[in-house]
Amino acid sequence: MQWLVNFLRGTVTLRVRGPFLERYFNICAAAGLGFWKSRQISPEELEVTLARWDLNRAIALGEKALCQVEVVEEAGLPAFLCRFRRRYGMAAGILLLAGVFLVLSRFVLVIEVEGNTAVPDSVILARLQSHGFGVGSYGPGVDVRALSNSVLLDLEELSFLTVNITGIRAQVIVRETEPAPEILDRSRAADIVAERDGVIVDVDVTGGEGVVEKGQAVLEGEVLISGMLVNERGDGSGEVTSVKQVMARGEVWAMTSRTLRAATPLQALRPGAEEEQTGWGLTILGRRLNFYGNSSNLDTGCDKMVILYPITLPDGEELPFGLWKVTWRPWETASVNAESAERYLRRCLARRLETLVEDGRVMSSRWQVEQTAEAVTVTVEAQCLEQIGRTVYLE
Amino acid sequence: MGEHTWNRILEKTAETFDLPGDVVAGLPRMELVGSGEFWMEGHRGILSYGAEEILISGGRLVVRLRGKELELRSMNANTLCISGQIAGVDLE
Repeated sequence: MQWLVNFLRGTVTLRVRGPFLERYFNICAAAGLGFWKSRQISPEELEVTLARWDLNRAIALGEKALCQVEVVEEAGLPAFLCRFRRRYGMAAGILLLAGVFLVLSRFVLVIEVEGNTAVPDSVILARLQSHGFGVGSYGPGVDVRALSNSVLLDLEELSFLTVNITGIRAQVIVRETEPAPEILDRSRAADIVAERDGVIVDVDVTGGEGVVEKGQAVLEGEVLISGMLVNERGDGSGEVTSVKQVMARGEVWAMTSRTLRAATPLQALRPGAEEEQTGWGLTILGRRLNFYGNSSNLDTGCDKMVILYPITLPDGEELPFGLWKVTWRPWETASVNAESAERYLRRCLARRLETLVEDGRVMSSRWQVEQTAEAVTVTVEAQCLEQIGRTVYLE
Repeated sequence: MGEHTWNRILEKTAETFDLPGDVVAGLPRMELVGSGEFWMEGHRGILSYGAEEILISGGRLVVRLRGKELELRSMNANTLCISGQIAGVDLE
């Protein structure tokens, strides 16, 4: 720890010459000057180290003790800083830098959005931007309450929003609106109808009256479980005594048939291997400045790729300053491998089928591939076991 | 009453009442760490300085340090430290 103290306050090594060195020691000690690292070079010459702030007094006391005192070495932070005392340009640069830091620290350079899952960051940031808050906004001038009220009015998916600004960093904390649960109105009468054509496999009625049986073929929209309960006289005459409307409930599983088709051309446009042109630009506070002039005509007929090189903080946070590079490559026509295209289409259709069937299962499927000179078409016909009942309220 | 007499009284008082002499009578306190380091509190200055012999004033007594490569490692108004190969300490 002592070395740190010595480094901060600075030390100086003196060479003392004279006939009475011990007298110099005593005068210094009596004057309250502490010194250390005394090294005798000859009977009339020695070196001592003392704190930098005692230098002038040590030299003056040397004259009093009839000794010649000269500085041999200066060390520590003050000596280091003194080396720059005549470098006015550097001092001006440091002052300028400090000024830039002071000014820039008043502006928002980094915006973080927290607490959102369904609403993307970009949507929230775009909405904030439309209300005048974004990268480059003057932090102290932001009316957080007005801003959050305006954004909440625009974004119904959010129930709470606040902005905490700390230096250059703005933390946007949001809470999303909980979606209202789907509530079945049990006070209303309803039928369960077929959502699609199929052959009934199983009927599970928990409310109302089932009107279909296993093995029966049904069409889309046909009533499967009725919400009309009809009471007849018990003597077998078939006379209706009362009709009661209830909410039909239950599940109806059926074998359904689904046909999906997808096609892709065998000739496609893709960016060429060679670079057509490259341009560079600067990003300052989210605004882009290009150095390549008006080259927007290249955007047509070319693939445009932009690579950003932002300035990044040590913690990985990206600042709104940096370089960006644009590369244009001309489109060229290329043939697509038919087998690869077929595999791709099969994967797409299989995923689509799984999404459509949801809780059900694909029992069997038949794939068909048609290839022409221009395109590949894949068709799948699938037999699925799925729940086809859908609640429809009665008027 | 002279300063010398007063110091003698303080010294005797400290001895009688079993009090620390360096505190009551301002006597010098010396400490030898092995044969390489010598500490002294309450010194009155260096009388002679050399690589083989150093004389230090302790008020009524003089401390003579003998040895080789003796160096004054640090010193202030009250305390000093001498390092080197100390061969002997004499009180005169």
